[in-house]
Amino acid sequence: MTLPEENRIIELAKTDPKDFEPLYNYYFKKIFVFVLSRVGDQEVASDLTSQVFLKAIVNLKRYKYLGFRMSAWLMKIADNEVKHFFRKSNKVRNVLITDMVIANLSQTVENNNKETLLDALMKLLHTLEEEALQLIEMRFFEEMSFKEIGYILEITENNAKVRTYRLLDKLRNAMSHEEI
Amino acid sequence: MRKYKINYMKSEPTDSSVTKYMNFNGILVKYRSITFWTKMSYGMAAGIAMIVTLSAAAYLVYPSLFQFGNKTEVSNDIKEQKEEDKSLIVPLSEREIAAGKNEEKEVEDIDSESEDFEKNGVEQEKSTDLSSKEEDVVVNAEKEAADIMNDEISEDIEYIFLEATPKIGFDSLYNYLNSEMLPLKTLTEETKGTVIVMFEIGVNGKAQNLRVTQGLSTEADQEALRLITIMPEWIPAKLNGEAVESTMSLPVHFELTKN
Repeated sequence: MTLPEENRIIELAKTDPKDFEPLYNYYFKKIFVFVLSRVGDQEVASDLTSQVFLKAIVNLKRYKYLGFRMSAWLMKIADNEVKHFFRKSNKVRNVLITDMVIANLSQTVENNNKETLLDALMKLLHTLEEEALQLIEMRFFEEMSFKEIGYILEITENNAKVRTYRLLDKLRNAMSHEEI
Repeated sequence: MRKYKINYMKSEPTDSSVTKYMNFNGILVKYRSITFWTKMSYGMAAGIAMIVTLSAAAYLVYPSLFQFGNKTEVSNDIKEQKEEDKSLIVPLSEREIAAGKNEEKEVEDIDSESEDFEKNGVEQEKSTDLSSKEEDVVVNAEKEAADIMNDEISEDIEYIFLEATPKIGFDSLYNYLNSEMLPLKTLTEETKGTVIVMFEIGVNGKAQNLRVTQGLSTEADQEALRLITIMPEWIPAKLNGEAVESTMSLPVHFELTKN
């Protein structure tokens, strides 16, 4: 789906929510995986995801194009929904690491030793605050731009960039520690 | 260490495992019920407001009309009229509208037809009773709708979580694991590596429900589980000061030692 196409569908869906369906089909997996990676349970993820889309449709009239795809807006709603879920339920927050995350990270930190990277990452993640953890997840798992990350976490693009690079420095340090 | 459960998967879920959860029509149905209640509640609010304004206006213009002889008389009249006047048993909503819209006219005619006025009084009383019940339902639905409308950017509430920590501290814990580790027979240059064990720290500070999330070899997995089982107690995680269960994962490194 191209961007102009997306914006056209959004305009249509503002008058008739039925027209939202192509967007739902297009973004469902992305939002579902976003939620699932954090809550770790498919049934819960399914509930939360439908809640996200319901809110999106209810609030669609307030949606404004801000220079990125609608996925960023949906993820912002999803992020709030997930936070709300953890506040209410006292469940354990999940972090999902896939080979893609490792591949993305190893490219960025220029280290090809998968095991060292994984070890260092595991240790680092445990020490992180929620927002720092989100930075890593959004950048290397959801593969978002710094602009989108800034929008979702309500920080500036630059701040998102600086904080991510600091985390990567930490990771590099941890890895060089491992190797010795 | 935070209260995170770190899962490692080779790749993210496949399309087929995700698409089975898709249900756009279900969302549309929910959407319609929300918008229906929102519209209904606005309609109700407008109706109630109109009744109140009209009766207030009527009171200002003809204050004498509102001086009921006494209340008991009116309530007696209600009983009589119920029996006498079957025409009163019309759908309640219609009567409500009639009470609202026709009030002014009826009020004007009232000097000549005092009976009419009494009917009007009865109707009004009933309709307020009814609307207060309906109001409850509407208020609930309104709340629900408002929740969904305003929840998009929810504010953070105070939420203090302290993660579980080993009583002896993390550094000492790692040292302890290293010192207690028995040498593996099958460990070679190829099979060395890390076993990640996930476990829960119960409210008593003890590890339970151990499982290996990243295994190495049967021997190494067994040894890692043994080490985690015998490790010293933890301080359980605390949510707003109350001990809660939490899930942790610890890496256990198996390296070749030079003998």
